[in-house]
Amino acid sequence: MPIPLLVVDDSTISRKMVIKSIPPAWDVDISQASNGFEALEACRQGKAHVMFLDLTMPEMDGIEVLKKLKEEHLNSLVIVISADIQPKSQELVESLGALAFIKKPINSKELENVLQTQGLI
Amino acid sequence: MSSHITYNSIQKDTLQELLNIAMGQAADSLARALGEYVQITIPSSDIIKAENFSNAVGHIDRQDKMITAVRQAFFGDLQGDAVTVYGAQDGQQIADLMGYDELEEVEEHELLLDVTNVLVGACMTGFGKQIDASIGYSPPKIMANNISLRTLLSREKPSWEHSLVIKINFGLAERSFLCELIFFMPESSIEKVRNAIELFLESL
Repeated sequence: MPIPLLVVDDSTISRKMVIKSIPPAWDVDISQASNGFEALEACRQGKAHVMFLDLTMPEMDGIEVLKKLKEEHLNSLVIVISADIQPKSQELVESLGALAFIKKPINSKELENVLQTQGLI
Repeated sequence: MSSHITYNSIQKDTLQELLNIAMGQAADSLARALGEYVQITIPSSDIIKAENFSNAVGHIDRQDKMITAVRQAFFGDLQGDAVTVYGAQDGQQIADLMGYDELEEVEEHELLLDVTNVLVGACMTGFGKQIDASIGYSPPKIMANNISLRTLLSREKPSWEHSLVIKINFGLAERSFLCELIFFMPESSIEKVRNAIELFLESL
């Protein structure tokens, strides 16, 4: 069974860059969301066993998504992929339950390492 | 040169993403230099004709407040000017953070030049790296002090017919510090950025 993977980013280009970096051998069923509301809805529908989450988004940002996931007891393994690479942002998302933080621009080697570390591949 | 220089929506979306990444790197450099969290917002970019210049660039909130502006030219694969606009108290804010008190204006200006160097360098280098452009910088200089942005923009206009204008804000969470970094690039760089974006898109 492929793993439901949700890629959340307001930029179409950025979602393409992330999807292109996914290891080809990883058996995933990819859905996409362009803001936090869509992300939570997809999550409720079981489309986000794993979530790649951007932080800076209009409507609802990634930090808010992490808080709502906790509030609603939604289970998703979240890896944040963000251009806001300040140490404080990294600390904040990890304190809110994100498994890992990947700096944009994403590179496929780094993503593969993180997925291996997290036991996802 | 065509009078309709624009980017299509895919090119704009790509430019936006490349700028987000560059801005994040610049914010990180500033955060590390000051030991403070730097707030960023989504950058804006537009291609602006010379005759619309003051209106288009001038709709920045603080256009009637007193500012200090620092100019830094860049050259190489992309060329243009970076103008960083600081509020009247921003030099003092940086001095406080660095643990200085009672600085002379000239010393505060030195600090603003340093901050400009960090922001412009990190931003343009971060942007250029993603599109394989190498960029050099001239030293930053105080361009105007204690005038309004409106006045500055009315007397300083690019000599190019079209400019790519990129605006990025950096603020400090616990302070009133808010600076605005504005990049101006001429037609030749508009085309180079377009070609670089197309190459980048082909690789996706």
